[in-house]
Amino acid sequence: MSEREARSGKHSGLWFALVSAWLARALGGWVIALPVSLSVSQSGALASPAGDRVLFEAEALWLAELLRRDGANLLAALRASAVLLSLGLLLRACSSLLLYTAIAEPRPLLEVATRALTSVPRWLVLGGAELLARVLLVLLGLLLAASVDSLAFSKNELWLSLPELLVLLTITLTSGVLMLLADVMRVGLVLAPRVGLRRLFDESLSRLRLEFSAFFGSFLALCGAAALVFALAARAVEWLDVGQPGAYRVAAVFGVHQATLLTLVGIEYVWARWLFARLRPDSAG
Amino acid sequence: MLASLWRSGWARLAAGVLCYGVAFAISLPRPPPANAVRALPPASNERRAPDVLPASYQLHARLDPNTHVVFGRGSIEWQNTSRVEVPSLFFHLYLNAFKNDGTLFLRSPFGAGRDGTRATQFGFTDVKTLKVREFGAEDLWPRHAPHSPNDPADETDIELPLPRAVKPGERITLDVEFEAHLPQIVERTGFERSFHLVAQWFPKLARLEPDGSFAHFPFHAQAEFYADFGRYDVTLELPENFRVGASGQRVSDTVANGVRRVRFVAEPVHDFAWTAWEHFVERREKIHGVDVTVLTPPGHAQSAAVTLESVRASLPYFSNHFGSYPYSTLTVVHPPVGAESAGGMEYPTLITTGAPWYLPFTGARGLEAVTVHELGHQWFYGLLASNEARFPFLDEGINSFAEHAALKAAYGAGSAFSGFGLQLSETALFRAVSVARAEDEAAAGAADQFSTFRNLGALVYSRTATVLETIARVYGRAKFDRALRAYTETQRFRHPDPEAFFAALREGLGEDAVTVLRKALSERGRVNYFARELQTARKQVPAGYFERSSGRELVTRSTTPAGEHLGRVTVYRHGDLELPVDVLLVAEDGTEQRANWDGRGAFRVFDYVGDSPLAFALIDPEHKLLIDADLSDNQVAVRKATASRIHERLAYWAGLLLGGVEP
Repeated sequence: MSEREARSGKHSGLWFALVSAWLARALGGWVIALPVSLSVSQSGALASPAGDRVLFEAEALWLAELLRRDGANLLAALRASAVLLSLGLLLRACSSLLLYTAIAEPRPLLEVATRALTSVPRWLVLGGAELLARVLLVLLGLLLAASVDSLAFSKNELWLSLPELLVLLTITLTSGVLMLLADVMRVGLVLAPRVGLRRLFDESLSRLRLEFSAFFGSFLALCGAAALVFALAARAVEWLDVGQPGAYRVAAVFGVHQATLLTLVGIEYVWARWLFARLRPDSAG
Repeated sequence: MLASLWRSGWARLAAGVLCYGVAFAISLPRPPPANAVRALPPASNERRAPDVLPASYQLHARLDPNTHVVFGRGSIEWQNTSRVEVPSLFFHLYLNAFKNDGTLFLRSPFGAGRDGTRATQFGFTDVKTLKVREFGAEDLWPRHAPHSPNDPADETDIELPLPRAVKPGERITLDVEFEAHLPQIVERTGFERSFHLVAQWFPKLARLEPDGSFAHFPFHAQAEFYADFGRYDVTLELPENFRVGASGQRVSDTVANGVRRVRFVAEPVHDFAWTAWEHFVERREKIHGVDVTVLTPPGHAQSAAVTLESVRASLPYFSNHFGSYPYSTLTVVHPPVGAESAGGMEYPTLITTGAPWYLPFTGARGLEAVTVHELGHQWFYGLLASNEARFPFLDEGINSFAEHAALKAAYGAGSAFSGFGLQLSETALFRAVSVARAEDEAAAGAADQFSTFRNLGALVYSRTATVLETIARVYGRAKFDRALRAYTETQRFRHPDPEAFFAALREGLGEDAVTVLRKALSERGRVNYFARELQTARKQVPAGYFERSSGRELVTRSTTPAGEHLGRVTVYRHGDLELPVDVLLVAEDGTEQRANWDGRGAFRVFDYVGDSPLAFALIDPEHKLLIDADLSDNQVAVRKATASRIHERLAYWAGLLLGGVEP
């Protein structure tokens, strides 16, 4: 966006949407984690000035003890977290809708929010359908994995066993296509909120068919980037080792994690923006 | 050019795949450092072989892979090494454990064996003839008892009365013909399609103890084996496309008319097992002077690499700590999908391991743990051939301790799991498993006497390992290592009992350590140290009326000008184990004071004097007392801390989950 545009407040909706997408993850995560961390706080493990650092010490003796001794309490806390997770998913879906709407048409915050509000029910139906399809896919994958017969396969020495590799690839690819299709339909839904779902589906599908490599290539590149960011963050956290004394380590890990969440929001933004550019009726197609 | 390339969907796809590849490579667990093994001085008087080989087998076995029957014949040379005449022999026909649902092994209504698997295709051993050359041409097998002693439904422990008693020192030769009908794998032995793990497959003589009694027992699902040392010369006959692995050294391998004949010689050992499958992928490597062969199903290259890595790390470790590996070969077998129950078992120079193909990529070291554990059995079962049925803690327990030590030497604190900034050791895991059941039963009990296999696992494996690790940490690692080394040296190629083990530890560590060990393993001994009543106050000048030489003086209450602080914490001991323990007293300004208690008595009061108020007391700061029943009461503080690290970590994971799952 240009400096002038930015000053005019035209992009305030987009900025808000980006910040809310990050906050939905960060704050949502914070709230979801609360029951479990409160349960840990009640345990004897924290009766020490070192706090829960002992849980991350080398060997994880205290962590194993915590799980053994307070396993039942932690399980109950996890159930409470699961309830909060479902609320968090709704929050996240709304922030996502806000982001898509803001990308579709950069406007001041209030207009973006009002426009997004009209699409909420359809957005949730679409999201619910995608979630259901993903669950069915995983079930199908498990069924396939259970029925493959690795004993009857070739003697080729592969890194993974051939049948399991095939099942894994099938699930990954199908899941990828499903997510791609859902995202394309989301863009369609925001661009033309009053279009029927059936028409939306047909149009999205025909567009995907036409340019599958472009869509799937970009999708995979951004997913790969996300995986890389996640792996790098995991290594950084390992290196920072919060099991050692030093409050700065906790702060640094917090920084790494928030940077990761922000980067993932950024990747989501780049992906959605590319999709909009590709799917607008006036785009090159 | 680059820009136009990037516009292509395929280039983006390639970039995505590359990112995934790099992410995957970054996430792979790291191999152990090359210098992981701390060497002990080489043994000076290591025994090379047993004094006698009482039971040697020369066998010929033909496998029919379609009917899963092994047609066997051969001779057994046996010597009466006891002090008395022996009127009958005892044979273990272990495959009869899988004959029907009524056997001791399978009769439980809740499923048999260690994992509750039920037999689907049954198996048995059918002895056709048995003659003793010294006693003439009579087939003696019809004389055999029809079933195991006192158990009409079981045929795994069979007595064979002889025409005359065998004199002390006398050697006889038995000619035997038999058929081993393999079961579909229930546990450790049998077939799964064309995969065969052929173990406990021949009529096996029970071990004769020096007092003339046979150590014979029916095959119980929770128990293992016990036998005399001998020489095994076995020729296997199977279809030419089958790959085979077996105990001992391969001395010939020929193919004629579509039949492969492979001869193996193993000496001195007390069992012989083999495996055959046409789909095995074979990898070989010379490790620490031993020819190591890894047999895996197709598609398990990473598993094979991890297996070799584990052997590379642990074979030198075990050799350094428990005496050299006396054989020239080692075969490691990964059973295929469907035959997982055959994994995780030890036979002389042949071990089975296994894990799902994805496990090596997760940070969990399950495959390493199983491989190292089974390799450790080459010492604690193989060379120190204790009675596994009667004293399972001597093989499984000590070996679990050895496994932890070897894994820790190789992989450090993350010996069970390493990833995402968390390092979980096997020691921590086994401690948590064992402490919950520590008082259920004695860990040093006989295998068939344990109430459940879960209890056997928690007590024989985990509890014994945890107790031994505690003894090593409390009484000194170096002294403990030397004592255990002395035990493995003196008992090499022998059949030690618990007293031999306790004697070696008494010699190296003293009576106190052995008292704790005995109580903890044999008498359900337990201990829980805990801290209570942390008090802290500024030191005060004593107030009140005091009789002085100048007369009665009233002193008003006030604190000392120097601002000294006093503190007190009481540490209690519950349970019957008395172990010395350290207590750490930490002041608000971080200064530390350390005190020690020999553990005798019910409690001990620890007083503190310092410039800053006492903030915290911690029992056993170095985590020596792993058998402490509850760690959470080992500390007491003025103020509780927060769970900031846990909360931060969980919040991040939940944030990721929201991004990944949301609609």
